[in-house]
Amino acid sequence: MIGTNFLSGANSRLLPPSIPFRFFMVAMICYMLFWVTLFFNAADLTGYMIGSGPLLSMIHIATLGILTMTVIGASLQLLSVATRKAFRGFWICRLLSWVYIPGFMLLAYGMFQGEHLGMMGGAILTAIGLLIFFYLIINNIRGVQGMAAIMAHCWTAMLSLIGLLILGIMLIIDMEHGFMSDHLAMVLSHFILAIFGFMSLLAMGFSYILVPMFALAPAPSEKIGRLSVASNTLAIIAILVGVNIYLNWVSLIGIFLAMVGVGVYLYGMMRVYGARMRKRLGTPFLLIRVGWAMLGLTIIWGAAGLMGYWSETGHTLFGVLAVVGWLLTFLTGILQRIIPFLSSMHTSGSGGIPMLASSMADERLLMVNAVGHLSGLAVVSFGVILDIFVIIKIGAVLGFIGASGLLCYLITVVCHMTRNQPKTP
Amino acid sequence: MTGRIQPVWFANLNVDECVHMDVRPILTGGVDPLQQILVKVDLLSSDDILLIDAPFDPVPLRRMLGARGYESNAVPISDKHWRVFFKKQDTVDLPALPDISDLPPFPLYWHEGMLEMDLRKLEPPNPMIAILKVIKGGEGGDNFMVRLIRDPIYLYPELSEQNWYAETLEENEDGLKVRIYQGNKS
Repeated sequence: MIGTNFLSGANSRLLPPSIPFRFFMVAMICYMLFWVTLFFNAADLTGYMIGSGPLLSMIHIATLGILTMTVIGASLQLLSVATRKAFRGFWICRLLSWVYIPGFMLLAYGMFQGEHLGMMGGAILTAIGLLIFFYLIINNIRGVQGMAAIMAHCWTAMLSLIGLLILGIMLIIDMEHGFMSDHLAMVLSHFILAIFGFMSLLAMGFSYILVPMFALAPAPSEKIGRLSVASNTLAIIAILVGVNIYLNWVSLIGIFLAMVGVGVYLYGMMRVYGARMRKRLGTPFLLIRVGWAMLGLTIIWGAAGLMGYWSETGHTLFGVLAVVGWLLTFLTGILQRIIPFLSSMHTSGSGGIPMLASSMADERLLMVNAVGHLSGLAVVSFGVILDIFVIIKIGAVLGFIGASGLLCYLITVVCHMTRNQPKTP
Repeated sequence: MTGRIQPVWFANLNVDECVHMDVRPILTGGVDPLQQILVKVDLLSSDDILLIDAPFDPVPLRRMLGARGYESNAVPISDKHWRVFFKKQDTVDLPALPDISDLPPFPLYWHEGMLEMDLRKLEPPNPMIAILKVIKGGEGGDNFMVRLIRDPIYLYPELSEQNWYAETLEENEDGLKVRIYQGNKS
């Protein structure tokens, strides 16, 4: 009786576990691949700015492979529950994975080898996959009443996605045909739209649901979310304009707005953290909190760069802080929490009662992940600052060990979930 | 009178045992009897029934005393004579309501001895937080009712970890009515 009550009606609103978990699994494999690529190309890291090759591939393994893959898996499940609009057919979610995952692989391979045809084919398939994602999200959030701040984050992120896709494909064409007057400005615009417009805004938007839900605290007020997303959107626009019309002061205004937007977001998150009912939040929140600190540091370091305070490796450090420090650390923390949480929803223990997340896998693996990831981040950053590739290599090894921990954890949880699927009456 | 449901205390009423007050001569003298009525009301015990003879149905007075917890029943005797009966409503001391001041306001009340919360206007994840706060505070006992707009699927693992469960009693376009109860005690 209890078992049947427990998930009454819930299963109809949950995606089949294979959909979010296939994205998480690929993300975790990419997580390891990222550190491997960094290890073998550490010597070129600080000197890299643009152009195809292993480092361009590595950046996209991080952004498209780990971050976007995680964001897709999580947002497909979260949005359909939050907006109460179930996806009409799961086939389109599956189609997204069938197009996006191989498309991304082809793109990463093409970038690694510098093969224009592979890059172009991969980019087109990846773009089609992301357009399916765009369609699914827009269709889901259109006309939703309430949650204005979260919806605003989603809308801005989706518009950024369109912008970064167009720029991404144009950049690949430009590599072969060279029609752009300023390739670097377009690369910067693509980077800003991808890292801050698309992924950061989605990460921040979902924070307003996920962080209070995991910490068991009241959500921040709507005003905080609105002020933050408005400032961050204006910041992205100002920085894009500043970069493309070569007016540094416009970009500085953008950075100032980003400081306001990020500051308000962090203030809201700190209030949630302070009001939490769950006192022991474990390693996921260690990563999440470090991610927040790195977000603040990324913006400050970006401002320092615009004011001319960067050393020769300043741009590399900015990339490390933004991609690995903020997004990868934060999303790894979210994944550490969301994997057992979602799997427990799909798992039936004795008497039909869902199993405790803690009973599914050895949680020490999460500690391995956190320690490996954070030490990897710290050592790689240190290596970049000192411009010593051996230190970067050591950081990559530490990061790889950390990534292995999370992949092992995910595999254990998935095996457990498969063995303990709820029995249909 | 047709179709009105009379209070139980009125059905068993003995007029001779009521505390009686005739305000008609006071009104004829051009004086507002309100202060005298309120003095009389203050002297009533919880079992007393106040009977007021008035030339009309004193609706404003009935509303005023209603706000103070008095039920009333008015009976027309003739065109210019009404009898109005007042009795203090029976109340039961209910436990204090949970402290949810850090959440946006929402209806929270006792219904037939059970705590009921209408969380339909709250945005996620606040409904889940409100439920867990009530469980943690213990004010709802081992069994309470919530009204929700969304199926609280992310709440279930949290409930399960604390040996609490949810049972959906109703689901329609107005949302869901869900009973939250402690394991082994329902």
